[in-house]
Amino acid sequence: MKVAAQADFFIKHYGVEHALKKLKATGYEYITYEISGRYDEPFTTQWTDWDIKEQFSPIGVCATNENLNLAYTTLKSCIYHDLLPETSEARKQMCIQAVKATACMGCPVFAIRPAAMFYKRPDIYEVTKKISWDIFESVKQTADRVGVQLAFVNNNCCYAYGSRIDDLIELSEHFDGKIVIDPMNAYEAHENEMELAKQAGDRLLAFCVTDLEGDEGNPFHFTGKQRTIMPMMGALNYPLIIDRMKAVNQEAIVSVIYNDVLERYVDFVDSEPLMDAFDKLFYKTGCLIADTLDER
Amino acid sequence: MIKLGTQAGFAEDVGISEEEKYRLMSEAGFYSVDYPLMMGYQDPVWQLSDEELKEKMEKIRKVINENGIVVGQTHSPLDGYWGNQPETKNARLHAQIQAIKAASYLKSPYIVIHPLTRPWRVDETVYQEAKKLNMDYYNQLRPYLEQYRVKGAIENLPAQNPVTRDWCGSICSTAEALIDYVDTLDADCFTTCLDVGHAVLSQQDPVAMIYKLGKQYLGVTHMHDNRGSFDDHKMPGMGRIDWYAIGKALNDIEFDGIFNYEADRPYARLDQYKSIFSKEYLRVYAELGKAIVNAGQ
Repeated sequence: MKVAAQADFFIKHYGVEHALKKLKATGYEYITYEISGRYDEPFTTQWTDWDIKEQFSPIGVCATNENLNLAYTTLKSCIYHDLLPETSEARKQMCIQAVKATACMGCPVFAIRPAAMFYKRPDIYEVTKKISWDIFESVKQTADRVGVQLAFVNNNCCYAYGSRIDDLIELSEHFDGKIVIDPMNAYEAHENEMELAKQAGDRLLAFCVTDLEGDEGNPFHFTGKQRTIMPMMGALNYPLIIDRMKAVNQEAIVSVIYNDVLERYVDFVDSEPLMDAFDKLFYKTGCLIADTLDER
Repeated sequence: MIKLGTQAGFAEDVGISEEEKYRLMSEAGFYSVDYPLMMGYQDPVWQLSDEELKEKMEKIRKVINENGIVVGQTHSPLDGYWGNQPETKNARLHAQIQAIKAASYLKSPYIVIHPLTRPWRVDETVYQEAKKLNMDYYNQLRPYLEQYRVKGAIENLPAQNPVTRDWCGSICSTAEALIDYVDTLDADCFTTCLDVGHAVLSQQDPVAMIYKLGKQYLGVTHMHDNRGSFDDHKMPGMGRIDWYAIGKALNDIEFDGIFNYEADRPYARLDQYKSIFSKEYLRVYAELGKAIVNAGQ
């Protein structure tokens, strides 16, 4: 299996060339990129196609120069977690802008998580499904136009649409997309991450490396970044995950998620040796999960 | 200049020799090891004769020193004498005394000795009663600290409400209490150990405690993190402590001791994969420590 680094934290702090050289030197051949634009920020409300091209094309060019493959992009911001109609169109536009950015980077896939909702209502499944499909239909049109494939990330709310494999397969079949499994989301949604990954079959694009505290199983207990910790040190059963990785699509990418952990150390980002140390630790973790440790 | 130290849990039980363990720590950038003498009072090591204990500890020190680091601090047995175990009082005191000797043989300048504490919040009466007991306890150890030239470090400890299980302060949880203890005893023989994780659990601000203790009273540190709900000795950054502010405070008071991690407990969670990550984790901790102690400079 291949191993990908989440590149945007390093790009933001060290510049694209330095960051990608660093990741290449670590041993990565693949990168992912989390687009930070929000629905209420200029990225969504003001940026023209030219602005997007100017911002994101250099990342693709530099990745090509460094022989790094762009695996997929994601959006930092949730597509929907409130019921405010006035934000619905803006969130749709945010996703469309992200698809354009993905294309400008020369990245083949944009991964998106279905709408989540962190308070309970009887029709939560139907509501989140409707919101998700509405947005995905629009996003798909742009994606087709710019040559980007969609991928769907498992949801982290057990009552919402998209946390179960049937939903993800439905989405991937309808939108001719791929599936990304984040084990932290699966834990929060009371799903078995390895069953999700296995049942995704050859539609599985990536399996993320994340971990979280063990007391966050309540789907309405959304605590943001506080839940994430160093991979393999939290509630997820990584020995079991590693054991069962052999049963999933071996073409899939092991996607090491840096941001939530490294943002805890943003006060110390000037210490490049510290960031390099994290980088090497994450890479080794990714390689272990990809079962390619010995080969490297 | 602040130096870096750590417990050696990263390299325990990972199938490498003692030599390799300390060499890895040195290569990662650590100046010192926090050598554990926390074995219970009934441990056979405390039954060794002084000569045997000296020989054993000097062998350990030789391996440590030859691989590039020193013993920066040690920790005495956790089961001190609390007055309600008369039948074991002598054995418990004996273990503390032997630990002081062991620290000396390791050439450790400090030994952390927990105060005798109670598992609940204290009022002024309880504080004074406990202080009296602790002064008696520490004064029994004082001649050995003097003779063996090791400083006893009194550590701030939290407590848990026995009914609600909430964490709270106890007998010796504040900077003021630590200073009171040292002033009442003897600053030549005693100093304080600030455990920043314990401070959080005791509803204290560890940064404010650094400023209150100042260079004069802050001798030893235990650096780890938590979220205020459990004493889980996490890696800095994985809990709620503001580590930039910790580093800045240490520099502001011109602390020149050891930034000493007591944060390798979660590492055990890696289970069978521990050995694979020893080197990487040591490097992360070392570089993180360097970044923290450079804060505000």
